Amino acid sequence: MAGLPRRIIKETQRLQADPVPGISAIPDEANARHFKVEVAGPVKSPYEGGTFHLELFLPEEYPMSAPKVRFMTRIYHPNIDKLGRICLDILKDKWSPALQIRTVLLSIQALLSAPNPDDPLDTNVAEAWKKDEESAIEEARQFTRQHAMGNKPQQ
Amino acid sequence: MSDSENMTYSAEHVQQLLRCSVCLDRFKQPKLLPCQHTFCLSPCIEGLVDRLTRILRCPECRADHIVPRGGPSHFPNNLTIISFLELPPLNGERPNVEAVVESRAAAQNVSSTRSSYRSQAAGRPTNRGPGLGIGGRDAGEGGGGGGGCAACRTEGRLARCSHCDQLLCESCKRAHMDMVRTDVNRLVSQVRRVLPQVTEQINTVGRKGAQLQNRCESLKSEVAEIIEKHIRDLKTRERLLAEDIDSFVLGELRGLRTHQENLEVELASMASFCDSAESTLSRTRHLTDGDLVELKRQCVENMATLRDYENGTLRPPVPRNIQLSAESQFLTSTISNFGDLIITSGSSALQASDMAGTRTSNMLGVPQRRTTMRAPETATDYALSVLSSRSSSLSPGIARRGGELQPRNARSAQVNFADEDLYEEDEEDSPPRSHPLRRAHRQTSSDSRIAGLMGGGGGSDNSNAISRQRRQNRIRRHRSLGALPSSNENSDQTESSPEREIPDRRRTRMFTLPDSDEESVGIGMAPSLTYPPRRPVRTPIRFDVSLNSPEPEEDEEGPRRSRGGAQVHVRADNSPSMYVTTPRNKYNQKGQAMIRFGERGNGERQFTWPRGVAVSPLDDFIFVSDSSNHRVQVFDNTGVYIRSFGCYGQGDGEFDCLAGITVNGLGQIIISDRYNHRIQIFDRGGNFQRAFGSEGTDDGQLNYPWGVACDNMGFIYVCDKENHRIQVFQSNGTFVRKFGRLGNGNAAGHFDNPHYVAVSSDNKVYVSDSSNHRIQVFSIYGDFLFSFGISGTLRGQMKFPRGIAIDNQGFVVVADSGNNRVQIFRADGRYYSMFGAWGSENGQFKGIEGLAILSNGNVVVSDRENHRIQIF
Repeated sequence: MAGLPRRIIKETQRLQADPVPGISAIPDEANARHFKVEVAGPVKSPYEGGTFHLELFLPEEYPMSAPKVRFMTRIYHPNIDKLGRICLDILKDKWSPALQIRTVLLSIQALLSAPNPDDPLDTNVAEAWKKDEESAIEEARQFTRQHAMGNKPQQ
Repeated sequence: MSDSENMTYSAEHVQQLLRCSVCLDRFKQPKLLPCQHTFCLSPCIEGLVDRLTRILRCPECRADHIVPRGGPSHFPNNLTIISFLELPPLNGERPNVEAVVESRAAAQNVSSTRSSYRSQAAGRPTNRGPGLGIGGRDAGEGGGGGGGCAACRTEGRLARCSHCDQLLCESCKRAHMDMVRTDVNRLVSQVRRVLPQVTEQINTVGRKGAQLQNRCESLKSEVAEIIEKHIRDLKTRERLLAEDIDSFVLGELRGLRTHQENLEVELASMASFCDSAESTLSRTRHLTDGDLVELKRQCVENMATLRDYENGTLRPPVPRNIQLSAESQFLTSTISNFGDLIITSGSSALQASDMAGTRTSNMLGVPQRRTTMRAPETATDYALSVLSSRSSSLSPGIARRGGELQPRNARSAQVNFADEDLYEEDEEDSPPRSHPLRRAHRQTSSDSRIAGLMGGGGGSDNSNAISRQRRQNRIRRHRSLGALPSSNENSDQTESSPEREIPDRRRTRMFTLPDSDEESVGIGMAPSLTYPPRRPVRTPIRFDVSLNSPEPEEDEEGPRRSRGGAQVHVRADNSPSMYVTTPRNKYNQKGQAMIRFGERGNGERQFTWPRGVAVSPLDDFIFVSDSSNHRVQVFDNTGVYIRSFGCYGQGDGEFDCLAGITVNGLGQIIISDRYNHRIQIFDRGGNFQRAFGSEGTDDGQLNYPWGVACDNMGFIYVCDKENHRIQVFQSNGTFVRKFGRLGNGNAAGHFDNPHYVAVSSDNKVYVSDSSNHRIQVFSIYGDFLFSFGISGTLRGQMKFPRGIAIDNQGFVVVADSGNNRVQIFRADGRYYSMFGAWGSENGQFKGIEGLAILSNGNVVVSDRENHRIQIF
């Protein structure tokens, strides 16, 4: 991979040398811009105990444009749809080059702790969340048990 | 991080602070954004700029900043960071080179080995980390070479290591060499990893070469184009001249032929008279006395007529002479020097001053003649360079000899002369008093005489002829005035004559060749072009005789007169308006409105006293402050109604007789809400964002604010009309500074009802100092630079100037409301052209107010009393 920007090298080194608790991101051997990410479900959230696999891709323009992140593990969350796409402002218009892979992953972890049904991606989930939060949370827990526990990374 | 062990805690922190948050590297050319965040110039800040909107969003705080005109490199350097970066690096590390190697090594977790290895290679005794097999021990060994193996102290077969020049035993040496081998391997792989960068460099160089080639190709075609254009111009000129000569010859021939015919008639009648008289005498014996007397009288009469011919009293009309005064020498020298190639190194071009910066984009063409003009050493130099800069389009004019002045022409010439007469008398009345201003004037004239000589250098016989003709003209004029004593032909007068005569001669030309292009006036007008750049010029006594001939032509004389009185400090400036002969925006072809819309009323496309107008730089929409309808109407650039917003009131988004309006680079609309004594800001869609200001005289308080303008950094300039000052605010309404105070007359920085303000792209603030009938120009910090215009109706004079707009070449368009016309000046205040008159027809105005310039150069004029907008 000719001309991998120094910034990506540095970020990769730092992610490995000084990992964020509950998050691991490992670059693909074939493509240093492609990361396999595991995020642990935050405690005191319906996702607690689950391990969520994500894929993260740094586009050519990175860091001038946002990385592309997608959940590979099914998750019941108002801001994440069936395909794993994430509705998060810093991945869209609020991206800033001062953000890094680690900050993005931290934000995603925070999103798991604090779902925002008022700005939904999956409207069904969001409506369920707004109508009856308790059963929605239970549903999320159920999903976590079903998909995010003891799972292998998917391809 | 390996070196963090060696570093103290604070040093590590300093290193972190010296890291750009975008590239995560040490800062390279750290630039400070207005929000106080710092990033590397390249590629971090450069990559952040939105090329379309020229806005940069800070990665840290997401504040939007407008990129300075010169590009992101014009953001200020963060000097603190730079001085930190220049600190001597710790442990002899060379920061930049090392950082690269170091981070790689860190990835392999071998750096401690490597760094001590390096110092060993350098032969310096240092403390070695335990990681290196031999290092620690060899340090203990100290002097080395004493007892046995430098590593294990075994006495045995020792061999000298060719690498580190130490005596080692067999096994230690083997281990040591293994270490060296792995190290070499590592180094090789490191080198290999850097190789792509070299490849990239190769590619870059290749690309650069291609770019350069392209640029040179386009430059060549540019050269060809320009030369082609000038050839075309010359051809056109040739045709015009030929036509002029033809028409001249036709006219002259016609005159001669008429005269010839008259003479023939005369001859015939004389001959027949002779015949009849003879026959009468011979035939009739008895002539009455009366008849005889009558015959005698007729004879005498005819005799007298013939004698007139004989004496030459009734001479045939002398055919007027015509010759070509072509300063071809100048043209030739201009051609041979035409077009310098300016070669700048890439980086210096970026960091060069504004002057060079704006020029790099246009590296070829007439403007580089400015190199000679930039710092005129003497007036002579100056004149010369003006000549050469103009001579690109210079074509020889026909000097008409003995030109008869048309009646109107004669009058103007008299008037013009009359004030110079007063000049003379003024001096004669008080000969002993050496008048400083007078001296300045004399200086001027002698300078311009020199210039004239330089200009006339093309041919001495020509200039002789010119001066002869001038003298004739002058005498003629003296006669017509009947007031000039003959003693005025003294040396003093001849001294100042070149300056005075040439305008006259120009005028003669102007009227005898009314259709000739003013640009092509020959060298003869050059002296009138010259004015001492830094010398106050005395205002000539003026006669308000309207010379406002409607044809828009460049009057080089106008500004010199108009700037009289005011102190003129023309800064060497690179605004194209100072030297282009024809602005991109064809002001002298304006005069008929292309688009007119609006009438009195309060519906769509109806106005009640429209005042300020503004054009959005983003979408070219026209914003009209419909003053007495208390609203803003928005049109597209062809006058199609888009929307309106605002109504009467004191609340947010409500107006009370709004006046000035402007749109900044972000599309925000800034409006002076006149009777509410405040400024309101709206977003692009016309939604209220904020308001600031209240009635009063303190800083940040306003008293009937009128015009508003924005500079390219987003600062807001407000004409605080009744406080007679300009106030500057940040885009959020924070007071920044104020300048100017009440004063009548022509003192610098004194205002009397400043109405409108405009900021040029080279950061000069033009204020229409309305009741002082002038435009004052300031730096953005409020330092007075110069002013132009005085009260009057002549070219370059103005009455109650109002709206100002500045085009992208720096031409200043002024709404001369008292004269109901639009005048156009160059950036230094020299008059360029004008259009408009009083009335309600197309191209006429009643109470002209705001001005704005569309992206295509069309001028939007708010015609207040006609309740309409006109676009020229």
